[in-house]
Amino acid sequence: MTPENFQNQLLDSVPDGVFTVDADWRVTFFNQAAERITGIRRNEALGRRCCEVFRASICESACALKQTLTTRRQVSNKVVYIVNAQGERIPISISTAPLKDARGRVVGGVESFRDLRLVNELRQQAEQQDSFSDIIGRSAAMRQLFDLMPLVAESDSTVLIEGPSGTGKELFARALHQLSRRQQQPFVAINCGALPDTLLESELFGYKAGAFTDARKDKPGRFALAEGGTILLDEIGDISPAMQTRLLRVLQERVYEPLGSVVPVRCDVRVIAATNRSLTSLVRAGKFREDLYYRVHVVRLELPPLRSRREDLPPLVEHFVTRFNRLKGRDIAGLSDAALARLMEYDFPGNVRELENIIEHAFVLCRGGLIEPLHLPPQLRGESGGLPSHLPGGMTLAVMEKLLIQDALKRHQGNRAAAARELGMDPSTLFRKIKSLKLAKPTPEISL
Amino acid sequence: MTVAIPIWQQRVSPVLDTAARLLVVTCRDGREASRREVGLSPAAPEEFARRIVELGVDMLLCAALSLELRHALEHVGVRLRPHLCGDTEAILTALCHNQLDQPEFRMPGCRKNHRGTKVCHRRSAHVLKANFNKTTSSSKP
Repeated sequence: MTPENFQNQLLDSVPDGVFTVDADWRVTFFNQAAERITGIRRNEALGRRCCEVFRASICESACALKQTLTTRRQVSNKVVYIVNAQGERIPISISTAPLKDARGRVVGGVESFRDLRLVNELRQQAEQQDSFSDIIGRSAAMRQLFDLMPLVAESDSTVLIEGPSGTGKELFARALHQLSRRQQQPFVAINCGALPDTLLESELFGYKAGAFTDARKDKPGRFALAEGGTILLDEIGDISPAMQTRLLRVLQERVYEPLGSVVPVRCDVRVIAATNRSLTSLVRAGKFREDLYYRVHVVRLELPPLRSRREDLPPLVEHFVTRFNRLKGRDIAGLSDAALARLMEYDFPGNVRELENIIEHAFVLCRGGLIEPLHLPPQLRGESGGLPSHLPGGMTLAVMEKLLIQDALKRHQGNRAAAARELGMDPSTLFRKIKSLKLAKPTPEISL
Repeated sequence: MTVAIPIWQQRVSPVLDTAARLLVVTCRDGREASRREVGLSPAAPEEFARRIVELGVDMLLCAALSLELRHALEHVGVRLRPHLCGDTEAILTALCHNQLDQPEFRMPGCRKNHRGTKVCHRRSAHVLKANFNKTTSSSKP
């Protein structure tokens, strides 16, 4: 068997499509997977212009092979679509590299492409398993909440949602509304902490014409707007004692009076209260009425901070990448292992909202392919210059290197290729270092 | 009769869905009466089809196109001749001379005609030619 035949057989055995072009953009090699994905036979493809065979969405505007041959640099994991012989749009991820002859002269290019239909299908299935009414999570804490949600939604009880800022309290409130018998009725949210008392009162209960200067006509309050549906009283821990008294009456008797009115209005609204503060502590400190606390604390959902459910990071990242790709018309493939590792080590004081902002930031800096650590905000790039917090001072470079390698191997369950990628070194270099530093392969932790 | 071809580097654009320019040629008495190039921006298939209708295009010659776009164009009554490749001037000439079936204009993987049935390029080209002549003669003053 000639070396060329051997190479062809080898490339025919890979599941990804591979084709090569010469300097005139004519197809010189087309493997079996490429035939299968494009629906075009090898004998028809060979010798033809690559754009007539490949028919990708970027052929005209941003050909990856052209970019590679111009810059001599590889393109990795660019997500585009092709139109196959049957007219179907096939999402694919492409990578390109220049082809060089024995003298190192560029004589063409090679492009490999992966059919993402199966990946997308699996991703959708995984997303369905990892989400509940648009809330993403696969951690035990989130699964427990997901199990509770239908039961809580079914009841008409007042719900208290506690959780730090950015954990998705409003998302949970909306999900409860959507799952309840009130789903066809309005969902109204109000941030109680953002408004002064007088304004909050008129916002919640509305007012009658002449109730105060400039009140020329009646204005319905949020309770009236939410009639039959659900009202979310966000930041309820921040309201004044006077407002607490007025709210208590609504929750107890389901009646209120708009400002300037003496006629009580009966309301049929489900109340969901949310706060990022501990109401129990506020009650203990005398800042929150105990009777109101027991009125809102019928069913309590506590949302965990993101740092305590790190296993939710990968599906959340994927969710935001997909969302921003759709919103911004981009084709970012996801996060590199190194970038994801940075996120896994971060504490996320701003929780999911902060993660969303981090991904949006990365979308501004990353032009395509995978989001790398350099695309992340400074606090995640490790540019502080100091030692990582878990490394003690006064160490030699060799000891520090050993610790960093051990750490990376542990994080990737002993996967040397992934650890090497994160450490920014070649796998063979890492292998040599493991050997010279006499590092043992980490064993998975077994709990009995 | 007005014929349009998505154009890129003087050739037919490889994918109609993402084509950026369209060559619109109007023929009268079997001769070219006018031509212009218009820009195309990314749009949903229905929007794209509406734009083609607004341009007064009777027949659209193109290379690859997605099923979604094909259905949208057929829905608004634009006649399609897909799976063509090559120099746009040569294609316009070939259209006038009923020579679009030549292998040099056929895209690789084109084993079906524009109606989705098995190969019958000769027949489809005859139909196109007949339609082309009919339209051009009926548009005579």
